[in-house]
Amino acid sequence: MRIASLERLQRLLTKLPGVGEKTALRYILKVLERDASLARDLGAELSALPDRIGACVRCGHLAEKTGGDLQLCAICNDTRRDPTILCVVARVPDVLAFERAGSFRGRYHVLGCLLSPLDGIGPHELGIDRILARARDEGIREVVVATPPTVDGEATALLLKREFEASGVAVTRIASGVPHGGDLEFTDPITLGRALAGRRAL
Amino acid sequence: MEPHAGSSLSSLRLSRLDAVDFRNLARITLVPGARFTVLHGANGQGKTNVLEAIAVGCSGKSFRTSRLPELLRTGTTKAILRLRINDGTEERVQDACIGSGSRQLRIDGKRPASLAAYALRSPVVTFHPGVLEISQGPGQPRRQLLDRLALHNDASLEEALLGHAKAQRSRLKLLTDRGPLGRELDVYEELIVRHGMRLFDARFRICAEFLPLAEALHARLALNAEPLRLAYTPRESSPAAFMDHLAERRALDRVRGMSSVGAQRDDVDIFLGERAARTHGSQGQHRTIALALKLAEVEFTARLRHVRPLVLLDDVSSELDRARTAQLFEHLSREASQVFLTTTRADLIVTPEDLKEGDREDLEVRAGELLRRGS
Repeated sequence: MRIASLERLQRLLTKLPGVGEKTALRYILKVLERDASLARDLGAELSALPDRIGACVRCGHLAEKTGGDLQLCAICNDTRRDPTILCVVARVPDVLAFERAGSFRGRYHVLGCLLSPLDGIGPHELGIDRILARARDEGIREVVVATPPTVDGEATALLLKREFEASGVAVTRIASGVPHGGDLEFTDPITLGRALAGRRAL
Repeated sequence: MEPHAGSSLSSLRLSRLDAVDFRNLARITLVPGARFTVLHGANGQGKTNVLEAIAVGCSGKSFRTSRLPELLRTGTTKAILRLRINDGTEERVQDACIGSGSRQLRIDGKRPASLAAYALRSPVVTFHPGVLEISQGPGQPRRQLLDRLALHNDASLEEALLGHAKAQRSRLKLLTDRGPLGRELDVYEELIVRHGMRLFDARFRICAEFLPLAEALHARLALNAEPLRLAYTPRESSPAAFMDHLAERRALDRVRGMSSVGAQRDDVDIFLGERAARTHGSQGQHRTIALALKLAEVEFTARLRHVRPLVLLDDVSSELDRARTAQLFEHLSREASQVFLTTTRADLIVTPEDLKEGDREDLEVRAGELLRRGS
């Protein structure tokens, strides 16, 4: 027996990353097992999401909307942050990773994508001009490029370096190497090769 | 790079292959001979498919095709290979599950970091009729040979190989879509140079030891013949010159729709005496050169990995005369750990006389099934 509404929800859930048909069905059955308030709360929160949260107008990180209007995110609003150092990342989860670590006290800029001619993504889509404007308007002295160490991530980093060349702003690249607590024997050859190439004098 | 010619080498051994729905092999179990496995039978029965199954199980890739659907038995949606392999230090199980659009590879149940990481674990050297291209064809198989060896020497080179290829594709797309002046072009050309120079350097270091080895093997194979000379000169001498060449060729590459500068244009030049083998070599001379290069690959891979590779010989007796076939077996009996070969005539395959019980296994392949003598 097919239940159309269940299948519709299942199909919607499988659009989420890491959720296949079986996992989607498990989620649905779990929600059905619990009392109806879980389903209603979930539905209400999900449907309100686009009205409540959007991209920060300055940096592209997640920001709560007030009265339906886009606002600055909590990090851009935080006056204790160092306004002279800007970390450029590809995606929102990268900001969350830095924030979990707590080691960066500057501000961010989320590109939302990486330079990729094969996918039709150029400097305009990256919003390079917006970053240059931020650097000029906010008195930024250093841009830390934290894009991933892929071809497109490296191309984005090189493009940023070139765009900032005449500005007097220092452009730095995060290091790449062996993860903390990881055994060398389990580290993949490319990461080990990069770690070796980026070695420093003691 | 420190090949240890004199050090003791362990031997790679395949103790069992199970294949399901791989080409015309519905379900087979191969228990090979310790040294030689002779797969014989009439044409079109599936002998090469068994070799191909070993190659795919060891390296994740076929030596016949890059199209995965061709590896599936007609009417099926996936092929399964399971290999039990011992390299002298550990026993492991390698699994390859091939679908029409993807392959899943596992070593002892764990997913490898990449296809190259999988392929490097169990080195295989394959001789097949198409291998003559390595001597008389365009440069691609020679570059692939150098890159295989370079990866065995430094697995992190995979980043440069993939990075160079993608940066080249991106540059070409920019040239096609936006013309020769886009500001991203500089960026991708810088990446091409970064990865390309690393490839040139890696190939140069491999060639310094590999090419003399191949020349020496050729001298042994082709007595009294013109000496083989192999020469590798990286196509670009410095990063600055490389960048200049890329910039100079933008307009031309745009018109041609292909990249004319980079590590993909590299080659090993082959000479017999003072003459270019590609234009002046006879078929027989090309066979000997190809054989010397492949035997050198077996020996050099063993030196780099400290383990003797598996050797797959597909129908070599059709490509080589009796004298060269004898030289081949004489060499392989010393340098290879385990040899798998196909032939239409098992009686023509003369293996060394000092083989022990179980060293040689002869199996007939008939309509996708393996038959032992008498079965």
